[in-house]
Amino acid sequence: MRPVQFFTGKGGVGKSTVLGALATAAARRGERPLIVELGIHTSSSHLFHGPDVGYEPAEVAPGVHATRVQFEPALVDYITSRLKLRPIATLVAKNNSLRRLFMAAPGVDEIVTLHRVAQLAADDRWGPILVDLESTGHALMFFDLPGVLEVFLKDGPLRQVLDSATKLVRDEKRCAVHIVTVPEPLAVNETIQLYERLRQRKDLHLGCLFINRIPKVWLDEEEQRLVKAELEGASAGQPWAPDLALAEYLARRRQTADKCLRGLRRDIDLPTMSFDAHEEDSSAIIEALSRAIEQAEVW
Amino acid sequence: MIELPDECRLAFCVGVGGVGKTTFAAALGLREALRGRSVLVLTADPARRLADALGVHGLRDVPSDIPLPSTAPGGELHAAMLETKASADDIIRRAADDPTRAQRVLDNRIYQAFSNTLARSHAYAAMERVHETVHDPRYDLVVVDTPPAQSSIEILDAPARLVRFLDQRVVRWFLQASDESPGLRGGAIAQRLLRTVAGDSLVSALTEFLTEMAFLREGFAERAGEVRDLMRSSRTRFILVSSADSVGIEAAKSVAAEVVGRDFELAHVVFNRAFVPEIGRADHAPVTYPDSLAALAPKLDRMRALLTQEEARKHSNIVAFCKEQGARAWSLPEATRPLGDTSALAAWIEQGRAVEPLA
Repeated sequence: MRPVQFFTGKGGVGKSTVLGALATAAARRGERPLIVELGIHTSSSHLFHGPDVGYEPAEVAPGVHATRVQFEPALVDYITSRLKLRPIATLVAKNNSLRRLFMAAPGVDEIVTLHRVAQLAADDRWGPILVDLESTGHALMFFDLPGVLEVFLKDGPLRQVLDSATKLVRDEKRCAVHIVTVPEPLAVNETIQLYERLRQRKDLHLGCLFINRIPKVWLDEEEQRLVKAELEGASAGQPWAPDLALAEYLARRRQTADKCLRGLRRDIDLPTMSFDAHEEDSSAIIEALSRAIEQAEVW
Repeated sequence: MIELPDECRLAFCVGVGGVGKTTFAAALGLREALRGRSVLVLTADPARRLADALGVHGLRDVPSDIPLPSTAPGGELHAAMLETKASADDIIRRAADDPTRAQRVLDNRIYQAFSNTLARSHAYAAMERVHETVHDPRYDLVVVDTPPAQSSIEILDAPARLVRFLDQRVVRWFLQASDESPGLRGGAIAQRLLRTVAGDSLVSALTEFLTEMAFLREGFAERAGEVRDLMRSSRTRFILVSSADSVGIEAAKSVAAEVVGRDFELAHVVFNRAFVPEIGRADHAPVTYPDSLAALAPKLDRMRALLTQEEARKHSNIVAFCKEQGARAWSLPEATRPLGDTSALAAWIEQGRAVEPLA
């Protein structure tokens, strides 16, 4: 597995769950996976029923570590890397004027985040590193950043951060971008748009497509016909009619999912891995998904 | 029944991504339009979700008229997707007292690089547009669909943050720090540190940018104050949209804390996909299936049991959340038909319920 894996996809598709399962499977293989979350929310602590994930990597499940890149400590880390002396860096980061400037200046947040990701990637303790990019918009901004900043960052230390991050992202051996989705129409539309945009970026290396929460097949075709006939005929208005309506709905949901899966297969040319929907709580889901990963050939 | 009070002029839908926030914002706007109000639904999300939900091909910065599925006297629905670049340029032009000064900012490399791309400027432009449209007499109500995940909350901070950024003391400090002239107390050291940390070219570009922007500060500060008042106004409602599963509830808690922590009032929480309308059978007692369904009966029982269980789990999550947060909640069903047009959307939100405690 390549050392740095980025995951993107529409919110709510279970990106963190898929990441958690991949990390669990990697840990079972004896690797040292690290989940990297960006932003103010942490999903992995809920996912693994652990304590709040902070800046310093902490073990959230056997062999699985997680970290959340927060602005202020990431800024201190960045400044330390320039000034070499952490006490001075902390002073600079704590300087009110400078901190305000950094917090408000567009781009600084993104750059120190990139710096932190690159720093973790360079640390031998971790591999693979699984980066949870929050949403599709966020991911595009993240990958577009070097291009945007190139305009005026001709040289200097921030430029070096960008260059090394760009080098990392462009290195096929070290880095891949994966897409997570669910077989639902809105998500599929967005996933295909995202795929097209990422594919245009020749410098990115796309990895796998993960399709999460594929609904269960409850009824075979004959049973579906029976349900439909009963609903329109003898069972209409009967006390058990809602049960048939439910069965019809579940069958329809699966049909919609099948249509979505066909669309994804048609439009997205990536190795694909699918996961069935699970009704249990998050640890049971992680367990089921990680077992599926272990048996998969794609990953 | 999901409905906003008549005095409400502005509704912010907040929440993490993937919970159906955009769909809800569209449905809420539609519902209010069908009640005879003129509504603008504004999305700050660059993805095409709002257009998809309303069944139109695309949305632009200029509001489009959305045809209503049935006539409603006085009711109108409009929708727009923010195009950040245009809005940011407008903001600069409005804030500058003369066109030459505005042009200098618009020509600045830093401004150009940032105005179109990054989350922060997107957020600021969005809040500007909200402010502008709320005062537009064409609309009785503006429904705002905030961007997903953390920017959902960050968007609310954007104006104040910009003003802090342009704070005179900070700017003066920065400009002094990058001033080459000797004799400035502390300036030389700060300058060296800054150039070491940020690099010469960035410091020079920022200096140029800040020198220009500093002149616009007054305008920005005034506007940020107005936006803050607007968000705390009794005519503004914050609506948190969430899923009802346990991971979703945890995320909702942290978003709720962010809203309340800013002194904004959380009016309602909407739990999406909280139930499946098809299992809304009043009588939960087992039924006797006819002979024609005998073979299918065990499956039907299993399906119902599983979904009832899931629904009950979600319901108790919701009730616990409301009790803990002291919030009122609505629950919305899973859409059992695709929500790709306004009639489907209207039928869907029609099924929303106020949450009743567990029987």
